[in-house]
Amino acid sequence: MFKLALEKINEYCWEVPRQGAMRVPARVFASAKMLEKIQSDQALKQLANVATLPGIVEASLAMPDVHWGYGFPVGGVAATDAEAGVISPGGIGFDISCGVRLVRSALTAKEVEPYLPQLVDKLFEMVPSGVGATGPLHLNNDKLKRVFEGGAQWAVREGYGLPEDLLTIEDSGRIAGSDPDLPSERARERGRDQLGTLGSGNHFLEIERVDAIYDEVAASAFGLFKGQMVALIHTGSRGCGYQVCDDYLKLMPRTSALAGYRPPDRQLACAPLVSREGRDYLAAMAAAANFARANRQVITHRTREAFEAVLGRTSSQMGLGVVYDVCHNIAKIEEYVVSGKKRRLCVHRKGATRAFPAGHEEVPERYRSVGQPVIIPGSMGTASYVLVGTQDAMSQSFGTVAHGAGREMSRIQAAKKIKGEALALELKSQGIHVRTPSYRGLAEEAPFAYKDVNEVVEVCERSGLSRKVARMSPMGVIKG
Amino acid sequence: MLAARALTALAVEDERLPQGRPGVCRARIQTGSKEDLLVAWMNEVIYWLFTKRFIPRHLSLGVNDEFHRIDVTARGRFYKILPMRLEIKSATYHGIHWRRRVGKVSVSVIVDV
Repeated sequence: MFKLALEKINEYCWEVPRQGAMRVPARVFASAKMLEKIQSDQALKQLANVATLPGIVEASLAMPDVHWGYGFPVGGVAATDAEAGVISPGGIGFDISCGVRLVRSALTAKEVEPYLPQLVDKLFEMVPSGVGATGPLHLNNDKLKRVFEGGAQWAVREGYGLPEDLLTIEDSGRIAGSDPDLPSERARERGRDQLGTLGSGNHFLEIERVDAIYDEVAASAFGLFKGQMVALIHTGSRGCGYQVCDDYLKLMPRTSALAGYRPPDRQLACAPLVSREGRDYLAAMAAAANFARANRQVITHRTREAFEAVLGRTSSQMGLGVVYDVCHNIAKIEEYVVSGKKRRLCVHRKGATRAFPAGHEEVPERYRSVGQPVIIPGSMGTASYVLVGTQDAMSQSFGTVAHGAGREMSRIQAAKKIKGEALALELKSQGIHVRTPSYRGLAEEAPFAYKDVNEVVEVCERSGLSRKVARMSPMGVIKG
Repeated sequence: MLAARALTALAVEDERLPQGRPGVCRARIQTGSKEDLLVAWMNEVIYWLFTKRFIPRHLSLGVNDEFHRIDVTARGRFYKILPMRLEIKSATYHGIHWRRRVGKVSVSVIVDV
């Protein structure tokens, strides 16, 4: 295996010095123990490739959950100059605006436990999951355009949720700059029946118990308390986003050449941000991102309905409200101070979460005194975490932190090690109820296929990129 | 045809297929290189499988190597529900590997799932 030499910056940060075609160094946030595993796949090589992008600023970055991806590693961050730099669809990924939403409740886990089997069954029935799942909505072109423009705001206007939900969603549920005419006919066709569906792979809907609080002030601001029941939703833009990525990956080799750039990996193809193609991709990506936000909003609504049906109380009586919704596959134009100068940058986050500190104007008003919530899911058998953004992340990682545990084992390897049926039983013995349309898919997502989320979160905290607020453990899992 | 068959085998639970309706899908794909052509063709099949719910069984191909173009007429079946084992988002360019053997070519393509 080809290994790049790493220089230690500190206990939790390592650097591949600039060399060859790299325009900037590549940095990895990891512990020494994690580094060995990170070096065992192509992630570092990919990180060095990302450092060759025209207009990249400061460094190509990897979060502690980094692993091999397509072109960009998953867990990778690259900020390019908004005028002189490029945008690369590979730096966002196929599942545009895939993200996580945390829903709080006024219920304790103990109150919910007796209803858990029925609740999991009801959620499984009401939130379609699995390969090619179609949802409760069929969107004609007019409605799809409104989804592309309005995101979660469209969903709330249509009655899927409450206006106050929007107060604590990234960008208030609607990313600006979308052009609803840009997603191709095929992208529209692929998304038409998929709003309100989880999809497959690592997507899920989980009922969780808050089992530890680390920061009382932030937890209280987020409405979290020990022993509380919360729900966690992980999904994205479904077939619509995959197609937008495909469509622009086809175009980008030509535009890379126009930028005078020969990418070391075809999936790093890109376009100058000021070019027509670059602007179009950003606008089409925003349309797909709004689809993803609407998707998580519709799922939240269906989750509330499932709780109402099983527990026989209204969702307001149960206090079901959105803690936060943040995506981890996106590019955004943001401002940072680099070498003492304020600059507009296009921050690519692929499998990496925005983590803004207290006082930042893009943090929802109700959280502005503590900072932006960051949601880090583990696997279906391990803990998930709520963190909060810090000022250090702004100077070290363009306000970014990890997005999850990160895969350690391939799907094929995982499925060879355990049968899905056996895994469901094993989880049940731990008090975790699972429903899935595919036992094979369940086996592929076995907890042992992932890195240790506790270690990922420790590195995020010790490196200063974020602070721990709360830990949650799964009680019920709907796996796509 | 082999690429279409490989994708179908990966994505569809063939043994659980319900009765389908016979039908035809057509595509013209023109690209700049043989890698592009292969990836575009595989993405066309992914679209047929996951959005049209169409499984191609017999292909008539018009191939223009010089312009990396194919004209495809696929005969197969449309299904109301297609039992899937794996959601494939896209074929990728990552690590495409061509191997020439006597009288044969084999290609490895990584798909995003």
